[in-house]
Amino acid sequence: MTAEPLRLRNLSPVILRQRLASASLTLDYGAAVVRLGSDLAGFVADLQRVYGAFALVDAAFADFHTQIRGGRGLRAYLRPQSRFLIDGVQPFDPFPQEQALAHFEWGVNWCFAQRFNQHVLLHAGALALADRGVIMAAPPGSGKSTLTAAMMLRGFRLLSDEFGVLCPRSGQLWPMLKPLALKNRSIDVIRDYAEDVILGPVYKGTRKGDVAHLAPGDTSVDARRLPAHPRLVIFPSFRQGAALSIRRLPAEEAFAHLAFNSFNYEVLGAISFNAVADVIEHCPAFALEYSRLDEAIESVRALLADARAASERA
Amino acid sequence: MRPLYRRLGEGGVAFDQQSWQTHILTPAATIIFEALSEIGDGEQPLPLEPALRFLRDELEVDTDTDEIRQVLRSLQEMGMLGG
Repeated sequence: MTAEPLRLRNLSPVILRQRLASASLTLDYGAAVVRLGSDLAGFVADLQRVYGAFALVDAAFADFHTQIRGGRGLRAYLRPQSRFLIDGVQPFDPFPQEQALAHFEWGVNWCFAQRFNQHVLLHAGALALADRGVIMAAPPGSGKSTLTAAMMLRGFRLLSDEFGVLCPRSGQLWPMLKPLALKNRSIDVIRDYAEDVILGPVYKGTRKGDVAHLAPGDTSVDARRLPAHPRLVIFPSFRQGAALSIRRLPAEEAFAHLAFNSFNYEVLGAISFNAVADVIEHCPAFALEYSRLDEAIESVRALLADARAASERA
Repeated sequence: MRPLYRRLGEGGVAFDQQSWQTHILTPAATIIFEALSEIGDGEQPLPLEPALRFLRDELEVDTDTDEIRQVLRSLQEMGMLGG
């Protein structure tokens, strides 16, 4: 029997603040480990809420060393700011301090997109049933994150929302398990979708509109070191009132959508070409238009079961 | 240098290792790509005229359509076909 890990939600706020003050809090996302320090009290409370399922770990190594610090000089008091630091360097402008969690999430995404080139970073959500992975790829505003969130709440294991982390050596999808960033109307949709939804504060009027973060569930967090095999590629799009529509995509078209929307396809060249081609060679790809979440989720379940049956026959 | 090529269903994709450009090949383009790959030596570009003659006579391809002209341009960019 495996002992229940000490999760951040069960940690005394005093201990958590001490950890953050000494920059010794480690967040294990699966594919990457991030060390974090902060001196902002409001940020600590928000972090504890959306990272509540994460275990307190003592990792000797971290891929990224980050900090969320308060503004300097007058900005410590007048319209206070939060500053994101990576390796002690502040790569972009401060945010309002009450948006510090959103700032941290955005900053970590920036770090991944800029520096995590040992993997192909698909612009996609990724989920799994057991070790069978579903890649959910779509441009912003298509309803990808909403569907990804709903799938997690209906029993899929969440691997990632923003970054589909594809290992070019093994062909497996690695979890990059961050809180899901929900925007605008999808915040209320997901809040009303299930009873066990844990959402962080709603940050109004950010650069991406209203944003709130959905906490990943315990099951997904505990499996953060378990990769999945890609078995299905879905290009979802939400359209108000639309009847469910599923269309199989020609493989070369699916390749183009997946490859050219990745964060680092052009950086990795032949490596990403072969990795994406491997995915498309082994996974059927579908465009899925939906308006009802449960209906879309059941169709993804059925497509995944079909893909499994087809691969077993092959 | 010969492009990397992967057949995907009825279509294909090719990666030009010199320009790092990726080419998406429709099913028609895939047939042409594979046929010209077979008759070429993989190192030198195929001369254009014999290649066009081969496509017309052996594969019965109408080489005067916009689609085929686009395919041939892509093959020239990849260094598979001469000018």
